[in-house]
Amino acid sequence: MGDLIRSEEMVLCHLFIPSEAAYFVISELGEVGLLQFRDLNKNLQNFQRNFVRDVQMCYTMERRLRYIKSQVQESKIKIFTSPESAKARLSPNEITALKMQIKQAEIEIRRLTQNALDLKTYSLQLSEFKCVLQKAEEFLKKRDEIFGFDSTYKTSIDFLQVIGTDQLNFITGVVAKERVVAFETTLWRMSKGNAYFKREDIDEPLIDYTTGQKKYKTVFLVCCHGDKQFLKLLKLCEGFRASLYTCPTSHMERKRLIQSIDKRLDDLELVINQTDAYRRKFLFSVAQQLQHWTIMVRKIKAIYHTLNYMNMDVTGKCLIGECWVAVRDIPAVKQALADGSSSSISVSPFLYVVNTKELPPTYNKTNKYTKGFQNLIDVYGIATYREANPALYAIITFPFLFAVMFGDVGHALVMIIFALYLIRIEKKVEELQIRGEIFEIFFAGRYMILLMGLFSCYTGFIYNDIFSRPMNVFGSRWFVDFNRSTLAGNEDMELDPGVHYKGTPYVFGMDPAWGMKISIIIGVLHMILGLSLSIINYRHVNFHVTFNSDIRRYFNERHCIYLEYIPRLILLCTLFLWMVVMMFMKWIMFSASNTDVQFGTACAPSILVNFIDMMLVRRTTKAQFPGCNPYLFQNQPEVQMVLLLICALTIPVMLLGKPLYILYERKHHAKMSGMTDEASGQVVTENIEVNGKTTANEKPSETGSINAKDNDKNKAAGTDKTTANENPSETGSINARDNDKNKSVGADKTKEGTSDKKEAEEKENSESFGEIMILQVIDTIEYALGTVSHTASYLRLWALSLAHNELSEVLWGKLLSMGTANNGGYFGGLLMFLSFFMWMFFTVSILIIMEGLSAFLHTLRLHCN
Amino acid sequence: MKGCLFNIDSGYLEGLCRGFKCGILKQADYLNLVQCETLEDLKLHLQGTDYGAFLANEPSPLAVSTIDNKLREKLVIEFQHMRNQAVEPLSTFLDFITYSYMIDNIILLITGTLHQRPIGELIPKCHPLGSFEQMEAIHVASTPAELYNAVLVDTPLAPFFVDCISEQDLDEMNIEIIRNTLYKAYLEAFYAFCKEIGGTTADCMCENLAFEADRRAIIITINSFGTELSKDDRAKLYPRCGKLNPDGLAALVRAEDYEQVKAVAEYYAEYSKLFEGAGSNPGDKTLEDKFFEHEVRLNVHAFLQQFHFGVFYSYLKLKEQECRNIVWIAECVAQKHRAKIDNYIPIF
Repeated sequence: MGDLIRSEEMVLCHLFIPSEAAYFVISELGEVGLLQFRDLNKNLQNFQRNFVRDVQMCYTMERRLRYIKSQVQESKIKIFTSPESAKARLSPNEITALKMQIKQAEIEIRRLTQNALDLKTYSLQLSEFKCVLQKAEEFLKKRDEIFGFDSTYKTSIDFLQVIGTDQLNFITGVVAKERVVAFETTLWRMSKGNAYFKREDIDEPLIDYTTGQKKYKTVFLVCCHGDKQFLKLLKLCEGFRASLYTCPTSHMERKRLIQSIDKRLDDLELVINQTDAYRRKFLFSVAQQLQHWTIMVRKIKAIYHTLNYMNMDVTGKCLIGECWVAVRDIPAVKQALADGSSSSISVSPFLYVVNTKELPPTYNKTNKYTKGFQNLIDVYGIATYREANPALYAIITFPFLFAVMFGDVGHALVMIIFALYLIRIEKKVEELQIRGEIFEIFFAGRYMILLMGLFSCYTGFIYNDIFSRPMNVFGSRWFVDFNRSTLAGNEDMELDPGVHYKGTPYVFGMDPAWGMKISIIIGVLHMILGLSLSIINYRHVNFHVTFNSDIRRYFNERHCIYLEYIPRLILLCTLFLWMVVMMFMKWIMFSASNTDVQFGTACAPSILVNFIDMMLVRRTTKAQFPGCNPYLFQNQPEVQMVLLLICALTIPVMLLGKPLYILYERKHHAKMSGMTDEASGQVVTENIEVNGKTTANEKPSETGSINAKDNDKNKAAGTDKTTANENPSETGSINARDNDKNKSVGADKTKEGTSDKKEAEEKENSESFGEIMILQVIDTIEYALGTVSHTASYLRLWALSLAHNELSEVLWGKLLSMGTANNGGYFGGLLMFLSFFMWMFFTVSILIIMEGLSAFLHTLRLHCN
Repeated sequence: MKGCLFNIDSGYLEGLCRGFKCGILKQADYLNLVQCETLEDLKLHLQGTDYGAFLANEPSPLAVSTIDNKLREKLVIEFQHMRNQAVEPLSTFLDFITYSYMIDNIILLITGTLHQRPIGELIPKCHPLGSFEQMEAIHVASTPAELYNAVLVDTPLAPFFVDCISEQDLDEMNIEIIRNTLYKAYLEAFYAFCKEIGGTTADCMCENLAFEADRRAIIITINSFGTELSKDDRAKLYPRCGKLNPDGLAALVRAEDYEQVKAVAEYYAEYSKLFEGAGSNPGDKTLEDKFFEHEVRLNVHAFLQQFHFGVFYSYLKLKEQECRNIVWIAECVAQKHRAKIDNYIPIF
């Protein structure tokens, strides 16, 4: 578990590789996958780097592979996949061979596809021609109705012949259906109405093989008078991309032609089938290789990209790379280096550790169980190097907070079953590489879902809920002695703990007869939990700071404890812990069995009112009931005033303490270095160290870190938004949440406003000091607002659990009980069946999935806080 | 308030357009492009920009024309996406933008037919934004009247064409006249449309269109020297929605050589500047380039204001300029003619 608490220890290494062995070595290292290379050629453009030709070669190969893949998929051939992949340790000759292989395959496929296309296009033309002939026949059958003048001719004379002798020209052809209207109008305008146009749709769509899409087409027949117009119309047809077919004039000829076309079509189909079969066979053989090729090309490309990160030695014999590597992985890396160089002759490559002051990257080792949690934490932000990794306690707290909201044995069981199923098929999924965005999310979190299910099961027992039905396993320890008439007459009847309590608590969990009251207590408990969690969080960091002096400089120095941590703790304690203390006092001091009126249930003061009074520095003079004290104890207002004062005092400390300290340190430092020139890296934070040096290289990293911080903030805003978006899906039962949202939006705005103002003020000071000051201001305001909004957020936990409860209650009441209540024979059975089905469906869809997701999101948000 | 109402219909698209605008190449990108040795290098660099893998599926010996086509294709896809999402009045506005491409296409097709080119060869050269259903039937027409009656009457260009019907037949000269008359009618209609929309759109677009009109007037005048176009005919071609209208245009009608045109421009601060820097000596920028630069400046300004349609027009124009730049650089790289490679017009 040691590696979970903190990220791996990293060192910066220089890697020297003889250039002839570079490719192999990098290939080995790539298979091991334990190094993070740094780009040493940042100032160079992509196309100016050493191995750019090789990368371009890879691009070409990838392009060919893409084409092959598209063709294979088009023919619906399954691409052969295998889980294991070979190493990309290819010699230059092998790479060339691979290149040639891919190229040959591409050319062959292109040739075959072109052949098939030609044949198909020809067959398309033939079938269009056939359609034209058939439709022409139909047009001519109706000729008497169409042409009145035609009746003067004998019916035995063919219509088209007549047209021919009468200096009429006719055009027959096929045009795309969607263009036919425009075609007809233009044609009418061109001929000034002097052309006869007849069209008929072809019923079946014809496949246009160049695009592969089905297209509806229309056969048309145009008669016109005069050669000039005829030529014009021909041009028009060309303009509308009509394919023209000459229709024979006599009926007999047309019939003969149709027959011969039929025959040719049959022949053609045979040829097409043969070509297709051959093409399929070839594609099939290629499909076996395709995955292997793709992986190879990708690996080669990755290797050359890595090589592009490295510098060429002056002599050109050696490549120098810089990389981060985890200390414990160094032996494995060395082994890989040895493996990679075994084939080469000259100097073996070597790795050598460099001391650096730069902040190493964070690297958390994960296994399949912790990975889900680590990913979740990384969504919010990645801890800095060697900082305590929040994923550790998130493993427990995350499912727990989830469970608090979701507590229901029945629903939890469904989740557990789902998670177990996912875990069972784990191996199979990894082998088959089933892809799907949603599925992958669930799959990655399978262990998390299992834990969440188990925890919810537990809280479900505490809440005594199974599919939102109360369970009463051990029998309630509360009893009711009112009769029905009293209940009906008295609406705000409450169970009096003095009278109706049997005296011993319920065996396990919550007493079923309690309802909302307990929920409120649970809510308060969770506020305490949240508070203690955040305190632990601070402790965590500080503990490591003092404990591990080696890494001290990565964290804020000792002064931060005094100037940041303690004031924050005080702020938290004086306000919120005080509230909690008041609650406990209330529970202990006031009870129903107490004989003193002062401490009876009726006199219990409202904590909320007290708290609000405290914040507004107001005194409550009037008590709820005569004879009661509005406060818990005598001098409470005075104590509260003192607490509030302390709290107010902490704010300037938080705001100004650290920057002033840094300013002081820097002056001190400057004096020191002026005299002894050795005071570097003493107590000054990383920030100033970087600023102190004016080397051009270091500057960008500084601004980078600030940007990163900004990004984090944006990200936080982003997560806020997602929660806000989730809200409408709820039944809107919780007003507090909306209020909170507004508050946080408002808070954001004020935050921006103040930081802007501060920015303007600080500009007069030295720039770096101004930056520190701004960061501090932002930090402080964020913190102060954060405590308030977190408190509200934990209240939300309770609200959500209530919402979950209510929703499932509604479903139960409206659907299932309605179905089961009906006992009328077959019909009742059917109704019961249907209603159970619906109930199950809604339960699964709304409660388990939607509620689960929203609970998940809120838990995530709380953890982010 | 204006923003609220604007955003109901066009907020999404404006955001989208501004997002697209961020993908326009910066000066730093141009500096890198200029350093390219081959077109493959160019492709590699463009992969790192917003263009992404737009050339990834092209086989290796790249031609400049392929790059040109792909650039245009990408722009057209973006524009058409916006057009498909648009509602009134933005949709009409976007349609108006496409009309200028339609005019260009019509002229291209008529000229091509006049030179006996087959229609199949001409169609791929047409700008896809300006294509319309009857476009390919244009070559049937042999007189402007026929062109109007048979083909254009159904297109949105019909009202612009009314002034051209009187021309007798289609020859080189008349085609030029038709083009300019169409453009004049188009610009004036577009100008009126933008005025009608009002608000920031009118402020911004009228500025742009006025410049466009003046540029056309000046170019027409300069090009007409030494041709048989009479001064009266020339006057008919000037779009009357620019800043030159009416005094400047009247002066332009009287102009007889380049110097006199320059003298007219002297009266207008922004145009006199353009003429000052321009020259035909090697090393000098041409007047045309100067105009382009000014256009880019105006279009960049359009993005300074919000809640108006000008950004769509400006985005398209800027992107077109960018395509011209890339193609110019690509040509220079392909022909190993690096002396003039810096003659592109930077946008940001």
